Amino acid sequence: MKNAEFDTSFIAEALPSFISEAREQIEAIEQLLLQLEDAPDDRDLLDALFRCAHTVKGSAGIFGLDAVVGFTHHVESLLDRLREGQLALTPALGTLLLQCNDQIKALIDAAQDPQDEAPEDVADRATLVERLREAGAPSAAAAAAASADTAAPEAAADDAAAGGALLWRLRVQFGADTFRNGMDPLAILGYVAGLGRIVGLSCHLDAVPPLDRIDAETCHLDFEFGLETDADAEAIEAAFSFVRDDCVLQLRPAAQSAEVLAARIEALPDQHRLGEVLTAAGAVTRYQLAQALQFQAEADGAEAKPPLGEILQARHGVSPQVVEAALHKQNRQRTTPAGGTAPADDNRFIRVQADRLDMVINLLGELVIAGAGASMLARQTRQRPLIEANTQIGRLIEEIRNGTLKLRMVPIGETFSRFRRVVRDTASELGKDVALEIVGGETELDKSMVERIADPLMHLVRNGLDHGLETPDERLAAGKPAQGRLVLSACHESGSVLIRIRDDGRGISRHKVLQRAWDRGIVEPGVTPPDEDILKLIFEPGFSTAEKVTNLSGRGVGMDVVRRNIEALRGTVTVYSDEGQGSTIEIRLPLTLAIIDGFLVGVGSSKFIFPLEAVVEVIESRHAAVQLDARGRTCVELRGRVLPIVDLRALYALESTPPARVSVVVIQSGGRQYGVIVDALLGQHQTVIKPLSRMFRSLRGISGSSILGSGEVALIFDVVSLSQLAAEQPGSSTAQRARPVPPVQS
Amino acid sequence: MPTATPATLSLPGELTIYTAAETRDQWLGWLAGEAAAALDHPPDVLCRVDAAGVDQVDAAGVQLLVALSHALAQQQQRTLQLVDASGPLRNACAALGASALLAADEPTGGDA
Repeated sequence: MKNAEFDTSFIAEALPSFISEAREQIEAIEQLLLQLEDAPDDRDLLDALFRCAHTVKGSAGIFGLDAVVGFTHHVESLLDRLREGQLALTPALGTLLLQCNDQIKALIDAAQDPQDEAPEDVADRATLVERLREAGAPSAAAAAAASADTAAPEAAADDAAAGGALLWRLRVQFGADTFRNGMDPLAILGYVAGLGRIVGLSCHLDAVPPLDRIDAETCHLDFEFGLETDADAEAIEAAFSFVRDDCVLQLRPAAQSAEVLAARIEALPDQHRLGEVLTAAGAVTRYQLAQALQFQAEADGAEAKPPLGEILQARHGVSPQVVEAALHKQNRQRTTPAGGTAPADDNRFIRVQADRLDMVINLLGELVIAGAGASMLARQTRQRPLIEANTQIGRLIEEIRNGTLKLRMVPIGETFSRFRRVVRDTASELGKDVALEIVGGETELDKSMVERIADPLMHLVRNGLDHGLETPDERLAAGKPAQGRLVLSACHESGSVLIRIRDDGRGISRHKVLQRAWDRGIVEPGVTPPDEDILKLIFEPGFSTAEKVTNLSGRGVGMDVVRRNIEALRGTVTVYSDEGQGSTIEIRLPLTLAIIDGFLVGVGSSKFIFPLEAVVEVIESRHAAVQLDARGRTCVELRGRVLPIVDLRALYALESTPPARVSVVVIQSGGRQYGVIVDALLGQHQTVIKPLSRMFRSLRGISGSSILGSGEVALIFDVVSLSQLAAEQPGSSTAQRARPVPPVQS
Repeated sequence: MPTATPATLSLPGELTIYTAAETRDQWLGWLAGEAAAALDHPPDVLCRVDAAGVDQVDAAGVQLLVALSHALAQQQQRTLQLVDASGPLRNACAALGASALLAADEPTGGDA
């Protein structure tokens, strides 16, 4: 607080990371609340919930976000009551807490972009606070009962003391700004009490100035107490983590605890360092250890460096018996060869700003292109050592590329579990009973992809709940179990990520879809497209099958927007449905938006790239003398199977003379294989994907472009839409004609 | 319970950091009134304060009560006693080692 300017700039810098952490906590709160619905008495979940709320409040206090602190305070009070067992978590209370969590989220979001609040938001919050207060208000009888209860279980606490619980002596002087930072010593002591049993607490009341001299917002509280607990020093200290910097905390095991600690040290696995032994046994905290080590380092100039054990004894009240046990342990470890590995530090994460990472990835893209250029030049010189050196560099670049892209990968499970809440709320709103199953949440996907797929997914999930799944009565009448199932799954499949949303609802009626398409003029009335194309119509603009437009899914953002968003990610969406049995929507997404392993081929002067994962095999040097139909299609026999083949020259009307011998690249797409006739196989290529310019967006079968080492442009195939394009009947009603590829030169 | 002065202090419903500064001003006004009244009638040594209405309290609120008791003791040699303390207030006083403020004949909420 000495340098206000420093504070402001520090806060401005640290705020984004606070906000992202707070969002994680809020996410966790939501998940915990939902889990608690199934297990309302789970003490661990309640504790975790309280800690999350406490963390949000605590860090918001540091940033002076008064609205967050003020509101979260009320939530925390209620959670405290739940934890104390004075209240039971009813479904109604769960809903209230979820709403409050949304409110906290909104407040955090507002902190990022400070603006004057709309009066209705303030009123909303006041209503929530009022409801919290009502929910939390204990009848006087309940409070009395609770306070009577605290006296009763003393015998139980004594039992616990016998079973390994230790007595600690604590002295804590809260800093003057404690209240102003949004901290409540009462809540902190309440938290400490939750660790065990507080005995003989006294407050230095004389330190509080009289009313005429006190600043009501300055904290003068100073406590001394004993704590009987089986938690270790680290856990006790953690209770004070939000006030650690401006409070004076002394923590030491009481004399009678020394024996227990010594016994505990004896039971520990062998370790190298005295400090490790002591912290592992819970005798000192890492903070205390760090202080002692610093003291030791500062005393280094003196002729004799004091041993760590002595410092800990003198400064932190660690009893000599404990230190001796730890030293004994350490000595034994030194005489025996190092066997067990040191416990891995569980704090192995670094937060990195996304834009820094993006910058590295962009540079990496340039490096890949430059590397490809260099290795091409090297090949032209025909100097073997130079080529080898370039190959080595290329391999390293590839490894760096894979490693860097992995940095951006996050499991999709977090996004999936967000839907638990949506499903819960939406289902209850619609009077439906739905169980959400999540499969493959550990599947990893590029972070920006995960963020951008969340909205389309949300829409599809809501759609399934609203239109797909029936009410319990309807389901029972249809001979299905009353509870509907909605399955969200993700897995990796041939170089892309496959996300499935499956429900066992009523399915999509082809008849109704067709009727609607005729009515809306999406399909010429009377024309019946092939069966598999009918369902695709739901993704056409202006289509909505909901007979009754609800506020959930019929909001104008239709399935066409969903499809557009997914296609913007170079993904595809397909719908399958059996009437009466349910529907499945499959979303296929590329693993990353930036760089892929490609397989480069040439047709005439044009270059094309297939995603390497999609290439099954290549058949080299066939005679080009095959009969093609008008759209360049034919079939060949491949090891006894018929393989459909498409000729790029004919499909895209490329103007060049076909060579005498051609090659066939066999592509795997979905469940099918097909071949593509090309002139030349140019080998594996690290492909930096550049988006297509607006002019080429409508080009079907192509998902992007890439710049080759020579400066040429190559187009990247989207194997799924290429196969669709090739499979289409010439002149079918929904087909757009493929346009000729303009000559590509950079 | 002797009804001392007509201006018996009743604690507010919310006794927290959010209201602490405001509450302090009110109590200072009340203290001044008490001091003036004491010139006419020597008051009881025990200064009973109605604490039934407190439904929200935090450490800042309890600290403020301690400050009030100190001021009463120093200026008027009187002892603050909280009467009919509500459940939340009793629990808070117990948890913060300030149970001495509570009227002795009432059960306290903890083992402090």
